[in-house]
Amino acid sequence: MGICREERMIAKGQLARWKSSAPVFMAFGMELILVVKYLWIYTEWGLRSGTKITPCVLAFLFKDGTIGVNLAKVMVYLGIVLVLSEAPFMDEVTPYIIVRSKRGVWWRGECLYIWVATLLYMLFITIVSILAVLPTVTWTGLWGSTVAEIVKDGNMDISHEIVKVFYPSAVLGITFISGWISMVMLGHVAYAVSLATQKRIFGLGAIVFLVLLDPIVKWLGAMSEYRWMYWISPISWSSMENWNMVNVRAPIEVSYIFSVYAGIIIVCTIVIAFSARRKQIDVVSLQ
Amino acid sequence: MIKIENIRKQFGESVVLDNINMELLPGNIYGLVGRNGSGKTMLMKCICGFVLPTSGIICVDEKIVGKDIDIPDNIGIIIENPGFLPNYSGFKNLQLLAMIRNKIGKEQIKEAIRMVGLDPNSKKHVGKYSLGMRQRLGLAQVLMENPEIVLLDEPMNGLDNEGVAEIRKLILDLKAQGKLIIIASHTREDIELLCDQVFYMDHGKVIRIEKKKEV
Repeated sequence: MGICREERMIAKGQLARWKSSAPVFMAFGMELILVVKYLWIYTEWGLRSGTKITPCVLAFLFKDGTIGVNLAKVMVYLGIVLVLSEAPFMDEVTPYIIVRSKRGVWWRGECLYIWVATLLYMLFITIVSILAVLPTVTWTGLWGSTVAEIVKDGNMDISHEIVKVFYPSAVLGITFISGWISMVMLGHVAYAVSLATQKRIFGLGAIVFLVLLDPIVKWLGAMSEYRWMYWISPISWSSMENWNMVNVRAPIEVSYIFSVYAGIIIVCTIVIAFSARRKQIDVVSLQ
Repeated sequence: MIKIENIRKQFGESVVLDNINMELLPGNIYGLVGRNGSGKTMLMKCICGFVLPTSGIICVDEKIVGKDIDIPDNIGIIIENPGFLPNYSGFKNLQLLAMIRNKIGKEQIKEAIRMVGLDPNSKKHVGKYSLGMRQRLGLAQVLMENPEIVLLDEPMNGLDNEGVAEIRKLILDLKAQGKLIIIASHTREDIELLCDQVFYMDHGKVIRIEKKKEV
């Protein structure tokens, strides 16, 4: 039978909908263009100057942007917002699923779908980021001469501290995990809010708010009186330059980040479980 | 067996089901008749656990829906319009549903599709199906796992005369197998030909009960 077999089938059925999902196509199409366009500048630099760059450039996309500057991160997150915009994932097929799975398996399967969908999205972004810089990639395991040249000028999509302390593969792994967990959190927030309020727009609104809070917090500044806002801006935590293990002046501790991510996911899961038990299965009335 | 005791469903000030009492036995076909908004579909949703009643109890095989079980076991339904993934074939759609319980294989799915007069090997996407074809596929979805309780909301919707005759025969075969069948229909002929007992509903209440045959 396998562990959580029925839940896996629910998640599989949800993934099957991607074939005809306009938001999913839009998200992946949009990100393909944006990621290549954003990172091509490094490839151009490398082709022009004969320098090389690590393939582990995912963290460049997750550097905190602010109002009007460096909004690659916002665009990456708006892509996953599109993918998750179908929350609470109910359509005219849902009654025929629930009559077979029962409510418990159904909501657990949808939560599993959130984990899988965000993983696939992060894998896509990572692969596209590697492909974008492939013409000038170095496989030495170091940052490469492109990064060394540009970081001297200070115009870099990655902080000097990170480049000094970490190997690129470590930064890739850490950024992938923190990005993925932050997106899982967003998915659970969207699902919980839309299920509890019975309005899809509220779930969508909640996660759009969280995504847009990040550049606002960055704009207000880590060294300012608004530094405390970093503690309530979960999307800001997926940027390593905000971690004080990287830069002692940075606002957030790593233990705080992952424990609060876990806490939010657990609380949302409880809300989902409770709401799904009482939820009227009536797709027509869901807005 | 299904026992419905004093069921009431209210949304704010609006009462959509009021003091419904029924006892439904296997091997019979029960009809729910009434105009739009009379409460037929809402009653079916309460029976299958999609909607929790405001008060009252629904027992399916001695288990209280919403307390002992959230959705009754072994139930097949069509409620409102049957929904499928438009970019997959009929067979693939049913296969995705059947995978959840993993009780049946490809052959049983194909047999159910054949029983309703569709081609199980057709690659045609459901998005291109006519209303009648979607209705037939909806019935195949109900039948494929051999449920003991069958709830059909307007099962003849969109079918031509030949299709209606086929589905009537199918429903009578299910009755002969000892299944408990509940049909909601506007069509007097369906009710006359198929049902052993008919509940006439209006404004959420059962206003008349007719026994056609010994239940």
